[in-house]
Amino acid sequence: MKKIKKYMHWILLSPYLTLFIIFILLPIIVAIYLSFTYFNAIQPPRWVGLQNYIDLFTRDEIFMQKVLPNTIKFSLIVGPGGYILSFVLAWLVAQLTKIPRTIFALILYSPSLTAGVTMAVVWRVLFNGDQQGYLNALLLRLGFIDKPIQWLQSPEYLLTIMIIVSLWSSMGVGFLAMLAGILNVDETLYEAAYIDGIKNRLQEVIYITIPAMKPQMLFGAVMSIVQTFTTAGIGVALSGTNPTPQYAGQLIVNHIEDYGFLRYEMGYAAAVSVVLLIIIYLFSRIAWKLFGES
Amino acid sequence: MRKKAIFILLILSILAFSSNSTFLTYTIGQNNKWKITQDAYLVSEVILEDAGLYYPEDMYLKDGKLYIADSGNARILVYDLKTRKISEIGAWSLFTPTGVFVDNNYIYVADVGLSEIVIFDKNGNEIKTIGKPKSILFGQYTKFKPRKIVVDKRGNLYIVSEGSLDGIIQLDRNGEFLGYFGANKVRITALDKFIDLFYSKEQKERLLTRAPKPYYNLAIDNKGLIYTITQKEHGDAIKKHNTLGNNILYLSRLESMVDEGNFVDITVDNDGRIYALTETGLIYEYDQEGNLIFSFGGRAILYDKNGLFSVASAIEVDDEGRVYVLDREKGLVQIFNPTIYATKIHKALNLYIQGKYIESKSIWEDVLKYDGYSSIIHNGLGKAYFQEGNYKEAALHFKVAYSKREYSEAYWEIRNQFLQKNMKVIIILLFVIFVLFEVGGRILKKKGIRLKIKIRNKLLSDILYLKNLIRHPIDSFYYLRKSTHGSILSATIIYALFVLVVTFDYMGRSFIFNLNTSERSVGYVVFSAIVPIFLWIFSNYLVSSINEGRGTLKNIYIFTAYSTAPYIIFQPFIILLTYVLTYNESFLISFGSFFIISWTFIVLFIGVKETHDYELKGTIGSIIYSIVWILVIILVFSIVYMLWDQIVETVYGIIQEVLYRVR
Repeated sequence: MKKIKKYMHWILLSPYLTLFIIFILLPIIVAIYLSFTYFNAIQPPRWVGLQNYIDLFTRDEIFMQKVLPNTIKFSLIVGPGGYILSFVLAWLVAQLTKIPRTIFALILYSPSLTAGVTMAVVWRVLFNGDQQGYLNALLLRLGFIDKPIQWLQSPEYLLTIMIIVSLWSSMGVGFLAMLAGILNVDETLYEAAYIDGIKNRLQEVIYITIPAMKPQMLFGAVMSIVQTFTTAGIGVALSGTNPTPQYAGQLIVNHIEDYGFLRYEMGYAAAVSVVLLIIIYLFSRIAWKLFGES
Repeated sequence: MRKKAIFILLILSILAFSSNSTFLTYTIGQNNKWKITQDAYLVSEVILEDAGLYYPEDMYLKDGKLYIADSGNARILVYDLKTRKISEIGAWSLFTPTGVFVDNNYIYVADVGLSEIVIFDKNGNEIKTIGKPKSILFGQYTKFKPRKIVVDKRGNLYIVSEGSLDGIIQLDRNGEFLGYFGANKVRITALDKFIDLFYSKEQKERLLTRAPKPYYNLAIDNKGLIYTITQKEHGDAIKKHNTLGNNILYLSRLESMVDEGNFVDITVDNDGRIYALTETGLIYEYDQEGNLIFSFGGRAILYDKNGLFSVASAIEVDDEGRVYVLDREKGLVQIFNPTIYATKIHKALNLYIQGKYIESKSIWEDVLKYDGYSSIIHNGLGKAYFQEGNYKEAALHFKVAYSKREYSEAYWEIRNQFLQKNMKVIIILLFVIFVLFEVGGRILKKKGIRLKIKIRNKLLSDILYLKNLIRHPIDSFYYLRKSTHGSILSATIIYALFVLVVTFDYMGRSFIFNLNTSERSVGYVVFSAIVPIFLWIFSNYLVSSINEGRGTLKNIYIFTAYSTAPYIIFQPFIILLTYVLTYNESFLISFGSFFIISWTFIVLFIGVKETHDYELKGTIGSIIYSIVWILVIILVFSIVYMLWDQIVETVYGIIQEVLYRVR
């Protein structure tokens, strides 16, 4: 009896643990194992050591010249940008009374819900390549351009458009968490702070709101990091081609899909995903450093 | 060894430059500047001096015969270069021939006076004339004043018509109007847009002439591509058109060609090299991408010399690379023969285009002996090395040639090779460091040991206080104001650090990312870093002291120094990064710099707010007033600077006067 009691918590944990191991831990371990092999999904994996990683950083010119710079640029702007944007908007929305607040929150949250539909209805119409596209029509009428620009097919514009669209739809779960966090801050704290000499809203935000909602800030930060690095479909959805024109909108996940599901070089694709995992882990560490409870 | 070689080169070049040519050949050398190079062309002959040419406008070379549109005499003069015989065409039917073109069967003459194209056969018999197109598309009131003409292999006519803004007129062999070809674009700037907002319709019609610039002359190469020149353009005066009329000359599209605004004629040789002639007699030779190879010739100012011109009007080039230039004023043709130097460069360029990189390399190396600093040579040599896979040498030559983009590509390959060799070690090393950090950190935490060095020295700890500005700017500024940290001395040292970082940012970046500041001196950079800061301190003090700011002059001096913290701490990393990155990753540099500089300004903003204990509105107001003050100070200073002489004179005069009265 005593023995059973000793292991009781494991028994209680077991449903979660089995699911966690089967669906999360095991795939990660398998992926890390596969990243050291050559595996084409037909023959059994063949051990090649670090070769996949060496190839990734030295031989894969598309990865080094297009994919990595694209991903860094995309996530450096969309990650912090979207994060700041969702905090600012959450804070603004939190200032409203209940009913308008709910309506606005819903409106701001909807882009991330309806991404696929709005992509077709809003953005592809706006950036249409012929002179009927809204942006082209506007610029033509103003006389800035003399012939329509193929916004979504030209390599020099695609990434910028992807960034704009992603920023617009970045008010996702992180936004909701932050909104909840801001609303949950104890009102008495503000009153106490005002007695202690806080004078304006900016100080209020910096001294009370942000420290009080650190957990939500952390959650939002991690969510936005993971989200930006794992974004894949947007370039393909906008340009309508895979790979995107001259790899202009190719992000890491596109690259993984390219190698994994088009070329069936599973081992190589696994290596790329491990690198992605490490990148995300490193950035999450930074987020922990900034907002984590020590 | 190398030094010796350079020395010999120098002597050689001195010997060569003392040639008896009457004009100099220029090329682009180091730092994209003009430099004198070996003679590329020498005048071998002057012909047609006694042919009575009177204001000849155009010239065409075909099958060893020069066809000259002798406008003043209303004829086409044909000069056989072999037999040296002169004959005449169209003396009875032409009025003012200004353009001539010859294909295998016919001679086409554009006559402005007649407003017609007149076509002759090779014997000089008039076949037919083509007048103004009757098509409605051409326009009933559009004028047809053909000045220059070329004809493609299908017999389509391309005509530059005087005052035509729509582009080149394209007619088929029967004179039917096919359309306009590749018109120049009108550039509307933001200023134009701004003016548009205020002008009425009538004013616009009267005052604004936003017409595209007309083409001045044109040429056709053996592939049937049309080349045009536009006057008063810079960077894209020369254009190469595809069949749609779009410009496909690489450098011209970037508007970064070395060209002149007064080109009058253009011609293309069989290898695709472009020769353009200015009215003043300068000849510019370009390679197929639009890079300048040579510039030679010039204007005869005081007395006539071979190779110089009074007013040049037409240029032609033959299969052997001889260049024929027509002088309109003097009515003669000068023939330039390419020297061995030029012939070798041409050969190397051709070999490179044919993909024979190794052969081209040996010639480039040979040519390098003639001129060690010409950028076209180093560029060619670099490209040859690049294709050969010798990236290190390629990078060296690209650096001399100042071709940043190519250098970046070569550098990318060098870096790639390095990574390929050492990747295994790097991956393992990174992993080991990572594990060490993680495990070490855990152990230290467990044992409760905290690594912290206590700094006793007040000055040092004041300077190191910079790092607190990164995480807690607001609190730090509070303590700075309360004088628990920071002093005049520490602030001064921080200013020195700031100036140091700025100087390195300007001067110390790698070749790829340097800011083209080779002409600027260190003094200039230091000056331009210090002056705005002191202007800011001064004007912010003035503004805040009347605006209820709490900060004293000392406070302002100190907080401004500490607000540069992000720049001082992080910009050095960006500068170091420029040494490992290429254009591929240039985004990181520009984004990083932008981020750090905006961060610095945000810290400065917070500093103003905390030091003077302002509200948000007061802060913005204070900053705006300070900036206005800075501008006022600069304005006053520049006025004083300009009137300095006057002031000195006045003061001197007053003193003189006083002295005089006293006596």
